[in-house]
Amino acid sequence: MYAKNVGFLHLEKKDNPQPRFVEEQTLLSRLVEEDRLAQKWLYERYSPLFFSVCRRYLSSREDAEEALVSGFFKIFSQIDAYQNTGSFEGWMRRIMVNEALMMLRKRRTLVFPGDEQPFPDARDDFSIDAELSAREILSLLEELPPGYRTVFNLYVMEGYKHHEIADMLGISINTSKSQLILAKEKLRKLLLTKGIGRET
Amino acid sequence: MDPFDIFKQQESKLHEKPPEQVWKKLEKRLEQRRRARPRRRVRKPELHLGVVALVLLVLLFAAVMVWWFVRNS
Repeated sequence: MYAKNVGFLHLEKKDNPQPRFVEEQTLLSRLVEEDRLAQKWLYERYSPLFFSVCRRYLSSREDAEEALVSGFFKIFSQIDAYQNTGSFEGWMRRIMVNEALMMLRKRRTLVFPGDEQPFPDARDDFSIDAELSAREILSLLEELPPGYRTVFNLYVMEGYKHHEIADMLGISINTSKSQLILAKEKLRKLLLTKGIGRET
Repeated sequence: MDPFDIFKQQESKLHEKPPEQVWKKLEKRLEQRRRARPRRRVRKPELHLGVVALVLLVLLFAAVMVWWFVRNS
């Protein structure tokens, strides 16, 4: 197995505070030993990314913070379960997404229509010209109902397939597909209203 | 290209450092877990080797004693 540098770490104890590049394997073994310095380093490095993941799924900032704490707690307490087969970041990200979904279920906001709903038509006569700011992205996502938003996040942002989303959310593949089309349709209207998108 | 891929491309703009109390909350949970769990036994290979060496030494001493006793009787 090749050694992978994960970054410039201040992982040394007080007697040797010099930062140095540390291999992923070294970091993992320190995490298994529950080394607080290694845990803090990992948190500092990945919390901005994972906080944004939680914020995309959860409207409430407090809920996003709670999901972030639970997610990192799970990462640190289940570090033995990481098999070293795929990307470590990908493994952590899956945990974070699951925590956000659990929080949505806890708040009972995730409601999906049954399969009897008419299947909407997908439209592709649309383009987005302008750059979107962080505030715009979040406010657009916040305007989507939780079901649309969750499927949009899982499909577009995380890259899951419809059958995986169906398994994760306990819905049918058709419901996942229709929620995505409806989410895009709603976003299309919002972007047109704001003058960010245009019909082609 | 799906026009909505722009959301993914610009995801990094959403990165935001969480408030300081989030780490404190997490650290508190980790500390509680550490205290609640029974202490793990530390396995030291040199300790095992020491025990094996001691047993072998006792056996050797017993064998010498037996040999000496048989020889003199």
